[in-house]
Amino acid sequence: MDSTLGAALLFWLPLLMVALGAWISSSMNNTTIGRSISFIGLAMVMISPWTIPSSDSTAVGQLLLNLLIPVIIMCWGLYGMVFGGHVPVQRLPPSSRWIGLAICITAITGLALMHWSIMTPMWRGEINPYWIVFWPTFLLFTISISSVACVSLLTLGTNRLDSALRLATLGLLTAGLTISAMLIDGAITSAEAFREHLWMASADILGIILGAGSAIIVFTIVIWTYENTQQHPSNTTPPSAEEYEHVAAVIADNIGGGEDE
Amino acid sequence: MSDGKANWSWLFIAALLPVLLMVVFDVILGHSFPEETFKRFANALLTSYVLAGILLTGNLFFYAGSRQRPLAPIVGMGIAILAGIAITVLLLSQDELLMEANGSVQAQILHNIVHMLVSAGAMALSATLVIGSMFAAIVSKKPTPLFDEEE
Repeated sequence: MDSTLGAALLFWLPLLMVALGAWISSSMNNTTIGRSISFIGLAMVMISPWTIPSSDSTAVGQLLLNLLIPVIIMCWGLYGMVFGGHVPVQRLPPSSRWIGLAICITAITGLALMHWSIMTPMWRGEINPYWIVFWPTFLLFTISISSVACVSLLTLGTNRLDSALRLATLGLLTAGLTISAMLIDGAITSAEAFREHLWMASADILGIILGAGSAIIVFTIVIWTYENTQQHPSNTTPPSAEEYEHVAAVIADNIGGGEDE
Repeated sequence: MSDGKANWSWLFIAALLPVLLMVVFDVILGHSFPEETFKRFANALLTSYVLAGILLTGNLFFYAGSRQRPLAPIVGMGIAILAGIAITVLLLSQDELLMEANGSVQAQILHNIVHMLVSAGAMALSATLVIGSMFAAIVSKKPTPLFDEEE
């Protein structure tokens, strides 16, 4: 098979299937079909390094495969941490909070080991080019939004200082990891290379936020312009005497309660 | 004590300050601003604009059933997306302006899409971690009753 056609059929089409499946499950209330399409697409993207090895984009499939276990156990840990707490529904035993915390720390340690140990995601015998995009972006964005979440808890919540301090621990942990990566060489990535990728991650985060924000602004302008061109709905005629009588009868049926008392 | 209102300037500072501190720390370590950073920023901005535009147009189509699917907003968004694509292609066609280590405009566009998916994935995972941890921190404390029971 021609490599361009192969990449289109075995990488880009499955990638579109992931997005299409998510769209169908969220917008058309057909969650089973949507999730199935997304799952098949995701699985095909993950195996793309074997199905279409000549394409450079398949490094992303390899990275997804490498991140699968840490991501799943992180979500599992978060589930235990949240539902082991004082929640009104589906509460798990209180020990789930601590088990969940331990699992989350294990997941973050796993990601850190991917930077500092031989577990670094590889592709074609070298470091996976998308891993050095993912890792600094993840660290930097976690620091940034945990800081926002702390300030939100303090400014919007009441008596949330202890919750904010607990959350700040996560921000400090990721800041510690970032500073360590800036100072200590990883198994394959040097500290200097990491610092350069940190600049790139800052540019990426800022670019994505501004780009998506611009799209939302344009979308708002388009909708606002369209709605402004619509005619105002005409006023309805006042109720007739019959309608007044009907309303009075309905009200009389629903208030009073004299017969029951 | 909070007044229950979002202080946007504080939230803005909270979002930017940690990133700025990391950048300042990097400068202190003697690292200078890499030239490629601007290219990455511009590529990320244009790619996320186009992809977010497509996503919003899709939602516009799906959710417009109750309004007899008016065509005008979809056409308007289509034009906005096409403008984004045209600007991307135009800027990428100027040598060295936005091109990274890719041989052609098409390769750079595909690279931008994959790169954005990875960055957006990293951002989504960190958002999941922070939001999950925030809920865990909130529910770890026993809820205080809204009203004291009458004695």
